[in-house]
Amino acid sequence: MEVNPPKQEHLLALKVMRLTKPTLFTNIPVTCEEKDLPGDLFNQLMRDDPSTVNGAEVLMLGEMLTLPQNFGNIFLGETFSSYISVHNDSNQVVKDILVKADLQTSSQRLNLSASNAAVAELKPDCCIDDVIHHEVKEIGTHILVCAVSYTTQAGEKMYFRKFFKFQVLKPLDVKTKFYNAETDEVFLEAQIQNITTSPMFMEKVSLEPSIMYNVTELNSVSQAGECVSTFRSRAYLQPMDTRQYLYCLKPKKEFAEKAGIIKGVTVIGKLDIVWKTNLGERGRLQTSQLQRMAPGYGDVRLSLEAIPDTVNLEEPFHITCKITNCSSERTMDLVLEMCNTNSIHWCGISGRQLGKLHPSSSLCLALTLLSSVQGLQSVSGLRLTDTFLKRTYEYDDIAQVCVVSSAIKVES
Amino acid sequence: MEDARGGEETPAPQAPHLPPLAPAEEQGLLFQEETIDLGGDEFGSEENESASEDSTPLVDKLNEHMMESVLISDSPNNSEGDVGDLGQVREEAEPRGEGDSGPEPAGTPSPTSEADGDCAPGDAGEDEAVAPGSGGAPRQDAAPETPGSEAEAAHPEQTPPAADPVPVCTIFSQRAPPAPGDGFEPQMVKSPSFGGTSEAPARTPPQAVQPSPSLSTFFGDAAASHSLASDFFDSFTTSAFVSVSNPSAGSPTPASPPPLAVPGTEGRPEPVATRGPQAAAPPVSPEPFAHIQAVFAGSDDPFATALSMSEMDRRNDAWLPGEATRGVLRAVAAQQRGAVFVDKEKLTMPGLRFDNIQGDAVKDLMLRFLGEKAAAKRQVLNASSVEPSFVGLKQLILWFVRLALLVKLGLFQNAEMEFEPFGNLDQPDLYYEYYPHVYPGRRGSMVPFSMRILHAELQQYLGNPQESLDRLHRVKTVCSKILANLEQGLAEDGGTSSVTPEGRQASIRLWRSRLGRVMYSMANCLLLMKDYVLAVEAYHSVITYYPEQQPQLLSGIGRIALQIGDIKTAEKYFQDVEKVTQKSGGLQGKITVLMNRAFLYLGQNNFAEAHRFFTEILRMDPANAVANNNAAVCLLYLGKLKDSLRQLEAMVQQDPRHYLHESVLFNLTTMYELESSRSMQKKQSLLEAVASKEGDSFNTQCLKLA
Repeated sequence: MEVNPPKQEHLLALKVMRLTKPTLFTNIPVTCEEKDLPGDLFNQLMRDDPSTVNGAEVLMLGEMLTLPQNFGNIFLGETFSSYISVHNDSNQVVKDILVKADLQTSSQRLNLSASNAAVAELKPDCCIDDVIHHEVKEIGTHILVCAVSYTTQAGEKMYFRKFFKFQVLKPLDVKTKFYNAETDEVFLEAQIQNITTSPMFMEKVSLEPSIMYNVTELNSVSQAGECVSTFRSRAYLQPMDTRQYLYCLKPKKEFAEKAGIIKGVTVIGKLDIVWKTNLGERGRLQTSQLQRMAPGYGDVRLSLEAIPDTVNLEEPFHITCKITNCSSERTMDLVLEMCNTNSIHWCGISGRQLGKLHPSSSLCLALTLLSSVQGLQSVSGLRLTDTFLKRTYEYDDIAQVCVVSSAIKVES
Repeated sequence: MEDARGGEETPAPQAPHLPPLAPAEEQGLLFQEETIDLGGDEFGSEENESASEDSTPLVDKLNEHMMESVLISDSPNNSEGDVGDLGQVREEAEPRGEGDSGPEPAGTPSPTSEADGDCAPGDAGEDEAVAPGSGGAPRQDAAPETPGSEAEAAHPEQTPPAADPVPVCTIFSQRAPPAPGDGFEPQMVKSPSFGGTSEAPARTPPQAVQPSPSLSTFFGDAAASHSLASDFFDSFTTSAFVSVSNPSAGSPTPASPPPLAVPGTEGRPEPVATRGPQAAAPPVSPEPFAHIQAVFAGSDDPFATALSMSEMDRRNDAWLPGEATRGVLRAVAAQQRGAVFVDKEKLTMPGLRFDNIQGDAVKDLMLRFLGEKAAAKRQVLNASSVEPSFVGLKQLILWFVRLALLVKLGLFQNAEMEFEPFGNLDQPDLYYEYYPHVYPGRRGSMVPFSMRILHAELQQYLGNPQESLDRLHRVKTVCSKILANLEQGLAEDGGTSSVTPEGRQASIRLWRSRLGRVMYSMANCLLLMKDYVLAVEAYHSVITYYPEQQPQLLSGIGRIALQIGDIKTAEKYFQDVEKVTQKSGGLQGKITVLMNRAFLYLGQNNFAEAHRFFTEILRMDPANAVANNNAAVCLLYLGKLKDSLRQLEAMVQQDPRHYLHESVLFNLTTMYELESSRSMQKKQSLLEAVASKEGDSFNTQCLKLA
């Protein structure tokens, strides 16, 4: 097994280099003043150094580009670029050269060569160049397979290939959290963490909503008529930094009315993230579809359409409730009961008939109540009974109101 | 090879100086198949047709190939992977249990951070720097028995062993604690198919290069002369200045920020001053100084002239001593003949810390690759090539010059050790007032302002940028105070001595420019710390001090934005530059504008347009090294290796003195490696060219010969 086949010199040499963006040369400024002993010496040295900035030699970041020094890291969503050079090291003309570059991932094999045509001949000390690009779409092991076939002057067909293996890493950590508002709105918080080792400029982090929702991005504020990012000048993420984005999703009208549709697990949409690093190296990722468990409303949903946030102690106030029949095919006949709690007192007749409610339809109901206790009070004590099934649904902690002493004027 | 198969020896993923994708040496295996089975189920894909008959041997051959790639990745750190973090990476690189014919790990490209350059010292040290460090054998000179020798002798033992983990400067290893369980759900990010999660690549702690401190002569060795002003100056008469140690110790690699070597505090020599609480008296009587004064009295001696008080001196030397120092100085002034005893700890006892002959890395390489004959031609300046005249002296005297040169050579540790005795540059004996008999009436600090800057900046190259910032802020405070004094009609030090209006204006100009210089250093330091927001702010404030540099500074800020990836902000700054230069005009302005446009195209991944603009600059300024080099770099990205090489070679041949710059050489050697298997010959001819031109501060790493 360990015996190598006899070595054979190939006439062509294959070289591969990953092309990440070049970097800017930084120099170490050492200066002195005219009056110091070296006089102008150090400053003259810096002026003569071609890597310093003409007229601003102390500026560390120069303009000189240097080629990448190492393979670096490659991250999911970035573009893998590579220079492939096949050089004729021999002193004879080589014919019918075919260079083929494939990328083998854990799931597929892709051909990356620009052209698959053979080159008729290659003179000594000449080379065939190819720059390949591939947007990396998988995490884990990738193998670049470069195959070269050619014919020697003697007519012998030769073939060799080389393998270059690299790992594709994950650049971002994304975490999400949903908040269900009392209305039908859903708020999405997304935390995005840079888990690479270099700063990352977030060019775009947007939520592409599913067809049921409209989205509002809450990541900028209006300042003097201008839209300013909440991240201000910190447009970039340092390694391991996390940033939080907020989105508000509203069901589209056609879906909102058919409340039954937004039920159980629903697809909210996906995050689309574009970032850039050194000299504009670009990366792009999408999350998988974000799913949210819609709060279960049972057969009959009671939601609030209107409620004041602050009310006076012992003064009646009004709320508007919306009652929706969420069942798919059952018509209900509902009776409303209102039970007082320690603080909340309902005004009006308890046990009134609300009439028949058809599936997926709703009715609005204005109710009056007052609170006898100050502070933040929970509105509780509504009971709906479906007389067909003799089933009672309880609605407590529907909403909160702030109850203040009537001495304080409540702005309405 | 066996190692690689065992899977234990995947190289430490760092190969900063070889493009790790550099190909393996060809084994000359003739494969008949178009494709191979890359590993059972995992890799089983559409093209399995050839695998069935011959799969086992093929996989073996494949392994050999990939192992070859291992060799190429060629990390100097290819050892047991003593750096813990690499372990994770290694595991990732070796997916196990993929069935018997699973692909074996090969040249795992290095998941190291490419930008912050912490890899540099590790591999820089490989050949040369390690020698002094691990050798550790203290070169005990037959030095005079100075009181400091015990303290000094202890250092070599304290040099941290190579295996010790080096503390990483916190600024550079910002790692947020994992987010607490706060109800957030992790989300998968994906392109079509999603493989498992992967760990964030761990950072390798930067390796500190520790030159072995060696005991050396202290020139002010005995108590007899400890507080003479001449101590400060006579170093050039008593010791050979050129003796510094290895040039590659801690020298930075091109294109990366300087190594973040963190000097282990244990390796740092004790300041000499902590020898004991002996007290030292400042000059007690004028008699012993008579001869010194006589020396300085010679008016035609420029050196003496420099030391006599003048308005210019007052302006330049002004400094505000700290509280304690001010007390001592006041006491000295009050009783010139009385014995003012100063705790010796508070005095400055500078000393040369390195007197081993400095190596010449270029010559070493020549010996290795070009033979003795060629190496003999190599000439570097040394002590004997400096004229013993004043002109020669001028280049070597004074501590500032020595320290500045150490920094220029990249010998940051050495510079730090020699800076140590100067403390915070505020000891009483660093003020003229301390020597009322030598400098009657003269006030201010002997420490050149540039030395304060150097003292502050040095720390950032040693991996302590925060300390640099602290020191710079202290300098800034004094500068601001002096400026405030001047603007209130007082003298620099807040006194009421009369200053002519012209003198005052000149002084204000000087101190404003010094304040600007401090801001510049702060901005550079912040840039090094990657605190881009603050760095940009600091560069903005530099513009107020150096308005003539506005186009360059705005362009620089634009390049910072470009480096982060913020193309839009870069564009905005570049547009500002265009507005500014439209007013001023001139060739330099035009070049700046074109350069910026080219960079913007680079940021948009448009190398063809970038090349066009760099070429445009060359039409206006054919000698522009930056445009020349950058155009060549663009050509490479456009797939024109030969053209790129031709351009760079032509440029270097045209004017080697000017163009043989580290960055150009680095690009050249990188391309030679890509061009053919015979890059060695070409690199060696570059070495010959370098040998005739560069001094010993040359960074040989850019030739990638080692």
